[in-house]
Amino acid sequence: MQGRGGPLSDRVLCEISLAELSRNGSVWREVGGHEILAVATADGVRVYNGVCPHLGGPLAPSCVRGGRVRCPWHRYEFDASDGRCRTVPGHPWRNLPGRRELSPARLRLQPLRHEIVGDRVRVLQRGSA
Amino acid sequence: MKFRFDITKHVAATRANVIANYLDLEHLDMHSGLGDCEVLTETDRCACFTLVSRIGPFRFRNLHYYEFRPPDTIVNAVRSPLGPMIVTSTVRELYSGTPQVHSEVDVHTEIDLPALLYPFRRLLERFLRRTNRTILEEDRGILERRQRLFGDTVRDYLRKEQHLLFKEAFRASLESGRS
Repeated sequence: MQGRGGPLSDRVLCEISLAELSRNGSVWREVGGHEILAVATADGVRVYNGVCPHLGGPLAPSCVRGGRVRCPWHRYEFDASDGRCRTVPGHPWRNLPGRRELSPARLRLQPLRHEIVGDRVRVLQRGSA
Repeated sequence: MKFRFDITKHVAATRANVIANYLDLEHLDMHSGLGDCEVLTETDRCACFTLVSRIGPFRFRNLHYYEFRPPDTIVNAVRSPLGPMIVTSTVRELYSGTPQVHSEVDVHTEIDLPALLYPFRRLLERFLRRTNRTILEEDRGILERRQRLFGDTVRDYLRKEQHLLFKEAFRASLESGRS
């Protein structure tokens, strides 16, 4: 399991049981205004901001399927392992000649700092005592 | 035979957020009765697109003429199975700034019904009001969440990679402080 340890001053936003994550594949929490999406992937645990980087859609566990996170608002799909946007919807301008090509490369899920301690994932917020 | 009715909707979001939602065609698939939008042509403030409406097991691909009249009005003329329909939506921001932000959307609908359907106009009005309410409820989730997360800003709609109808006209309207 990959952990991203933080200094002692990091504040623990929440803790997620690895058993729950393993059982459900993904876990969502809302803590102090932060939306947190944890996903169990083939490459280990990934923890992301649960707000879609496109226009702010809610990335709930129901959005996670087959290693992808799909936003319910615009159907942009992100790779759960690295957070990169992989699939964009068949957008309405698709057949308009010479029109804008969709370039999703700059869209990426925002990873959250976390560490794995025993059987729990600690999601961290930087800089709080 | 012309038939008109009005709907007033209220939402806890800025006028800019509501207008951006109107101009964001990419989210239409999210609506339970709409989908498969395709833009056929677009100028700075007018566009023509097709959009599928689903009513029960039936699907209708309607042709839309869509126009943004800055800062607050969207005109949507539809060639629909009911007859030609013009829907004019005007957004007024009654209170600004989170959390008391509040906009009122007046939707004026005019349908040129065939004589055969005219006796059923009240039934059709009920159906269209219900459809409108459903779409509003689905949009309310977007509008109120965005307002809560990002406050009054709609800058993300204006990003280079973001598709939005009439983006430059919308940007100009925002910059002139009119939206």
